[in-house]
Amino acid sequence: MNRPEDLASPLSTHDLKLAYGTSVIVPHLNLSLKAGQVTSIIGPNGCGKSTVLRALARLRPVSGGNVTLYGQALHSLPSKEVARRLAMLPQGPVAPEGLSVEELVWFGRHPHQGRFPVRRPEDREAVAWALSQTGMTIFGRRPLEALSGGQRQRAWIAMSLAQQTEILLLDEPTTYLDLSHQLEVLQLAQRLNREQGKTVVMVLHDLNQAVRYSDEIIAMRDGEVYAQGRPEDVLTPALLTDVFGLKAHLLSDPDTGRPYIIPYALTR
Amino acid sequence: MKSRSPLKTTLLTLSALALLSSALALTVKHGRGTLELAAPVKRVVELEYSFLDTLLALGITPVGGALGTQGGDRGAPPYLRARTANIPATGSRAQPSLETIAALRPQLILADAFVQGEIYPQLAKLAPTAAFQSRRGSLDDLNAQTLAIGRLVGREAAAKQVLADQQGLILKARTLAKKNAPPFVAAVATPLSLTVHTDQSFVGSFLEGLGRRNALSPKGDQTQYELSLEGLVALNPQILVLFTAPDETPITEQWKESPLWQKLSAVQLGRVYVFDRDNWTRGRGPLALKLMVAQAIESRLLVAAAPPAAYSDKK
Amino acid sequence: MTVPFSPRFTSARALLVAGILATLTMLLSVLALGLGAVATPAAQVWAALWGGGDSLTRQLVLELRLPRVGVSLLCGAMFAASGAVMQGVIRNPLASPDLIGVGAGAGLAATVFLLAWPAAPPGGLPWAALAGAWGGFGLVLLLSRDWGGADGLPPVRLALVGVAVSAALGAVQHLVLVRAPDGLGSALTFLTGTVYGADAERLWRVLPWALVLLPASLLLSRTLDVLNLGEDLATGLGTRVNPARLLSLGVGVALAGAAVTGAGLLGFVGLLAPHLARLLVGAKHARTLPVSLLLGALLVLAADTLGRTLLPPLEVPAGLLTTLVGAPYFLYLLRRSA
Repeated sequence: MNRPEDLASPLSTHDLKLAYGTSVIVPHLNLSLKAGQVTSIIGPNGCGKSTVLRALARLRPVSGGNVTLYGQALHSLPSKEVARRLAMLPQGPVAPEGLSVEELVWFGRHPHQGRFPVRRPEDREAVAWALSQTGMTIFGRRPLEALSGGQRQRAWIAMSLAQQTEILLLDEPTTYLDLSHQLEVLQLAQRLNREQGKTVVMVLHDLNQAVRYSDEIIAMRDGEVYAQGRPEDVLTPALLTDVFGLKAHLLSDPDTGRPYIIPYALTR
Repeated sequence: MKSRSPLKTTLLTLSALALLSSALALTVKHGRGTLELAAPVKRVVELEYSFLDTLLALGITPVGGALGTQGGDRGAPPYLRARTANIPATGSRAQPSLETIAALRPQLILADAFVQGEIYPQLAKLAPTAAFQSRRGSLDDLNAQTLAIGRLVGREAAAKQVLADQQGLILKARTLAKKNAPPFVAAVATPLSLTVHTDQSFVGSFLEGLGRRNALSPKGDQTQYELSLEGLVALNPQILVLFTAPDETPITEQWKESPLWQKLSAVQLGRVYVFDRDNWTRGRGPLALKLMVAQAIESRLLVAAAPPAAYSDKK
Repeated sequence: MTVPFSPRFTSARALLVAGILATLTMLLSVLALGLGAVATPAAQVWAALWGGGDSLTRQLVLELRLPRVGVSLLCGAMFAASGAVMQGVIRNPLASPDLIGVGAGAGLAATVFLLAWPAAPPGGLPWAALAGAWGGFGLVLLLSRDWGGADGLPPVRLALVGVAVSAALGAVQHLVLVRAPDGLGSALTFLTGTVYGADAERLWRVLPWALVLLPASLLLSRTLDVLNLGEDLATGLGTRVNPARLLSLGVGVALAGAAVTGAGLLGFVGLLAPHLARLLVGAKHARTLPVSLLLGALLVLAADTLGRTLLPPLEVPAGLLTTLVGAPYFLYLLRRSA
């Protein structure tokens, strides 16, 4: 049942069905992500985008079909092995009180460690690297409570980086952050993609940010993919009307030449 | 006469020895097994008031006892207090102090098979221990225990005498009892509840032994059970026997405010008898029984006549 | 508000705290051997420990006090470890062995055993309690598990079902207690928790459990840390959450069950000790657990020693004292979290 292109795709879904009890959120999803790109999933509230992202990270069970990681069925792989290839930062993570940044980042080494927490040199290197990538090295010994929202989010991303995975999934990583911290997180995601070649998949609410920082956009409506492709190809007036129920002016971003959306009316 | 074979001689000698030893050793069956003593003993620690009463009745002063007034205990019953002032206390009945008992170096511990059942092994390590059904025992059980304790402390003859005297006293009292008097309801009244004692309970069966009829028999396996004012009114006894403590305000004092209480036949007829519950339900030994027979006569309960002030509920 | 720029909780600090607690526990243990309803001079106690002394002192110190000290330490440590594990799995600082049916199950079984079966052989009580603890937990597990669904063992439902099952079992227990008022004394002391009557046999009975389960709980510390991050992060880090929860709960219940057989239902130790430990050394279980164990052992030993010496020859149950300390602290926690 594997399609040949799946072997090259970090994550694909095949007739994926996701449901909470009897209410079906995603009836029938076929999706294939491209390696080495930043992909953003957009869509209105309740369209199932976070549910899909969680299913891609095997955080929720599937009711039908499956998810593959480079062609291998995700649910049949040992969870620890998946955790060495794919890192997922859920929405609004909460850490136990009193934990320092460095202690949090060490959790990222969990999938690489055995039964006993022996700290090998490569673990230390990975933690140091994750802290430096996120600019958190100087905050390493600080308790998480003592950080600003943006710093805290960077600490969590550092934990995911310490997993040293090729794929990084971020569920609404900018929610609850002020604008400058939002940019900080998005630039970090982009830099990790450009410099480390990581495949980054995010769920984002802000369409303009999604357009600016993504190579690929997946627009979802009612549990189905409405469109997938380059931002400038996907973000059309028709999509805004059909998916979001918006009328908008589409300008051209002077930096990137990509569309910039200014909504002005609701269509429903 | 045939000459005896060596085997036969041996067997005879053996059985003779066995007979001799069983005559010498004291063997008493109790609630947790069989206790064997080589000889009668004098240093006794008791953990229940009935054993205290029995030992004193037999002329033995225990070297220690569960006489504390803390931990849910009310101490020795009033009628024994004068004779127990110098007996060292070993803590509460539920959790007697093992250290204190050990330090008293007893030769025998008398325990309740139910209340101290779980710590029987620990007690038995300190000294030979007999665990009798005292708390849940009937009058017959307690009389059997008097005999057993008498044997263990070398006062078997005294124990038999005590029981014979007691039997005589009860029979004499019985002749005083008014025949055909209406049945009674007997109950312990504490500040929180009223618990009736049926004809299978200790006091309930004792009063029946005196020739009066108990209106209540056990409910299932419960020889004592709680009753509300409504429940009491439904029974509507013509004779009501209450056991209360002088330092408490029994729940019946509240009930007296109620018109329901005033409707009780026993109240209207003036046949409510009040006794000290510490003397009647805690001692449960030969001394207590002597006192109980005397009070049953003095209170005119036996003849079903109006009680004198000392035994009346109007104070 | 000043915010600390260096971590409050370090391994060095945890080592220091553990060292102080271990020293205190050792000192109190020695003290406890010399204290009791019967006065024993220090020289005699010392001699008794080395095989000398008079026979009474030897009996008091070696047969009565030493096993009690040992059982106090082991049961205190096991209750504390159980509480720490439960709080880690359920992710609620108010969780304790009592919350998931263990306490209520053991209590009901013990009450039925003591009161409804008066002819039962002595020494059977701890086994009844152990069976009850597992029975109570089994019931909670059965009712809170989402058999058809995918969620497995949701902590919130576990806690809610635990409260409901505990209340139901408690009601049955009261029914039994009311029907047999003359046995209230011994049943109640068990339900309050006490180390009274602990002898060498009880110590040997509790010891193997402690030797296996206490190290097992320490081995769980990293799993508990990961579970503590929440289901999503734990899964994301490669932990199979439901088996990990079940394993941890199993160890927690076994700890509490074994502790109940040694000391009855010692109130609040499982809640108090892990909490104090977190205040002292933070939330990482590799630090919290050992410090919890020491605190639990110290707490129960202190309560029992105090209970023996407060009003001799009266025995004040250790559980009464731990509850006296624990209940106000629990209320304080509730107020703070509200």
